[in-house]
Amino acid sequence: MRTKMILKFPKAVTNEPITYELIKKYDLRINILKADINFKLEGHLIFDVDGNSKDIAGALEYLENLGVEADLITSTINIDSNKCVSCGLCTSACAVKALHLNREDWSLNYTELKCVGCNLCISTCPTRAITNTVW
Amino acid sequence: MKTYSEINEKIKAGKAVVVTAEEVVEIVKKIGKKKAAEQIDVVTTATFGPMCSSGAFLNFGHASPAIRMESITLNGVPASGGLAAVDTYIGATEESKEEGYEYGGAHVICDLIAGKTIKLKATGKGTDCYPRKEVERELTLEDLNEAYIYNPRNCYQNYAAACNMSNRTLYTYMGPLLPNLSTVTYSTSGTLSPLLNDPYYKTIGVGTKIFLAGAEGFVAWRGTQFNSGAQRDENGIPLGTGGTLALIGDMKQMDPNFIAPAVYEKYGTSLFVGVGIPIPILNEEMIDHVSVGNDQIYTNILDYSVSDGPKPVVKRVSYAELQSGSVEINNKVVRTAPLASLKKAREIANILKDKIEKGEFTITEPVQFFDTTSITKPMKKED
Repeated sequence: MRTKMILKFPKAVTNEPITYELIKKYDLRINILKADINFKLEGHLIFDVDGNSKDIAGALEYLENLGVEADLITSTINIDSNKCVSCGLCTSACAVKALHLNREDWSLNYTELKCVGCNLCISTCPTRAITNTVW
Repeated sequence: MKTYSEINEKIKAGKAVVVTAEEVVEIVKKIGKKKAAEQIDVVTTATFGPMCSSGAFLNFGHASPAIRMESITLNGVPASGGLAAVDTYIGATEESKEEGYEYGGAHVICDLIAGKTIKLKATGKGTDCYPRKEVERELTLEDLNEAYIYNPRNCYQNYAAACNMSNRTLYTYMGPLLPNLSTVTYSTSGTLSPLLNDPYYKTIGVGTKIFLAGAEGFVAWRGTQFNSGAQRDENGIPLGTGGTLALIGDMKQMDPNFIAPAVYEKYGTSLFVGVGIPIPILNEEMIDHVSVGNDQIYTNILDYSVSDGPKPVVKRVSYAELQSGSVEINNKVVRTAPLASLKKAREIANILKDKIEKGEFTITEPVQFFDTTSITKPMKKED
């Protein structure tokens, strides 16, 4: 299965090579979408993860035992359909085309799987319809 | 040849043939211009785009004792104190003193239309006729005597698209423009756009009744920066900006679905305004104009990294190309993104079509027509 994984680090996590373990031990194909960690290892990491579901479950358990808060997420953004006017300006910010306009009815479509969580769309949206659901 | 009154008779009888400015392009391809001009009575046009040159006149009624409001805020957003005692004009781009451009005049206007309570704070120096020096009230739209949108400029006939050739992101009214020619943004409803369907202002003029954000509004005047003398192509479409319209309409009749505040990152507040304008098909010439499709409407892509003087033209493209999602510039495929909502514009064109078909909305002959010779001047140079 392919999914996104968010890791939230508390202050007191051991200096464990987490990404290495996830790849080596759990055979996960990992793409780091976003990393925001300071020198005390506080912060968060977002992975795009591809692997079998058993290994992903094992990885989540491993992270939990380390004291890292780990969750599977499908998306880092939420679009409020009451606020969105389908102007389409957010598509200018979306290099991976997760946000795209349906060229038939010109409504805004969002493909979660393509989203890499860059969140550039959030500040681009003129009606502030897009919010961050993760942190 | 049809007259306004003949068309209105048909509308009132529920027999008028009404199509949108998108539909008419296909109809003319099928049945030809002559038949189309005979059969079609009205073509509906629409746009739903951000327009900074927007705002509203409001009258609050007199407090007791009365005040001459000289310094005014609405939900913390300054409004003009330069009118009579309890009149004001709130501009869409005015920013909140506390929240900056995340809450501006456009938000106040839309909150009022949505029925929300807003807070008025005002002070005055106190006069013999207006002794009070300050007032604070929580108000809704219903509490106001008059509240009407006045757009000094809307419905740009044509507008250039924007790109950024520099190596840093530019924050503009055309949205954030990513560096190194990564995106092109454009603002139009294309073939649905009102003044692209009546390029010489033969039916749209002062007094034309329109759909304005759900209300029945009117064309009040020519819009500011009315550049009707612009160079035009063989279809009469200005190569550059062209004409504009000043619009007026009652906020108390407006629908929050067709007006919305807009925020452009590190630029400021603006206002999406939904406009629908009917074009009576008086003769075959009008069919010529309304049948122009997106593949025949062209605009320039300008480089916004040049901020002083005229922005260089990077490429001339059709709206069909812009709407396809990408354009090729210097052998690079660049994605395109709109600022105006075509989805909303279509909705408005169809609502107006429906209203005319049902006999609820008639057409009006302008009481004064616009010229085709005006040129917008730059600001006078320093002496």
